[in-house]
Amino acid sequence: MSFLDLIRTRRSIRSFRDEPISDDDAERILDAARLAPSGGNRQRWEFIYVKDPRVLRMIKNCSPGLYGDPAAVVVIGMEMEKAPFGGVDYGSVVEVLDIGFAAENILLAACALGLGGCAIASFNESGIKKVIDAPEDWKPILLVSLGYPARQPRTPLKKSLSEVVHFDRYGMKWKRLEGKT
Amino acid sequence: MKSDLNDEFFDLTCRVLNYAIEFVNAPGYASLRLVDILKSLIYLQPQIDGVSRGEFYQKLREKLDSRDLLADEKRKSKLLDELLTIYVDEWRSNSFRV
Repeated sequence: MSFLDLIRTRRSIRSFRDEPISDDDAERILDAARLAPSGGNRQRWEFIYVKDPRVLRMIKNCSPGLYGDPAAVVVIGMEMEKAPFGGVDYGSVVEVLDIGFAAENILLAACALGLGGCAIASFNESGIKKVIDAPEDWKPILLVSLGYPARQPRTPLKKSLSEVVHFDRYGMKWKRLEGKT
Repeated sequence: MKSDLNDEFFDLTCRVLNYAIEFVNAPGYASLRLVDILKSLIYLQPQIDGVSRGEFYQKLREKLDSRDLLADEKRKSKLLDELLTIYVDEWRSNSFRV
């Protein structure tokens, strides 16, 4: 499958088969995350790969947005830094976006390996920190569930290119996109 | 993973608590109502065969009884976080018992 086809066919997976992920595949997926772009190449992210069923169970309890029983979860977060004018820096928008790039790499790499997953923002930050024993100044930003899909969800309705793309100036349509879905 | 009623009850009540935490800063009474459900479940525990950990649930009951319904969000948040800590401690001592 070409890379562009992979992007087209990837779905958010929320139900999983009871099948473990090999450590080789896990390593490939995490390496894809590591190679994502980051603002100023700061790479402030850290990835906690959880596959212990006991820990997964409690992560699920603390994450209302986590559906299904994934074989693993990647907790992506970063250490908070002292802000230049006092207080703490919870990560700028750019650094949070970086974590989004890494998450997309995780999801695409998983899809390429026949796995699936879903990015989860609905979780209890304090609960996740307690469960994974994260230090006080570490903040989880996003979870990604991983596992073998129990089924392939239908393609959700997507806006057409002509609805979301403007040409040269805001509000100007690109003629070649008209009528395309 | 197979689990018994004991674990399922623990997980269910823990999830209700986490939902309450999720809504604690939202306008309205969602968080409060979820804490009501949590409290009802915790009070049902002694009547359910197969659900033990009496000491743990008693600790939660005492904590919930002491809650102030009209507490400000900060105090409510703190109470819910304390409840969660009790859950995590219980999970840790049961799951990783040597």
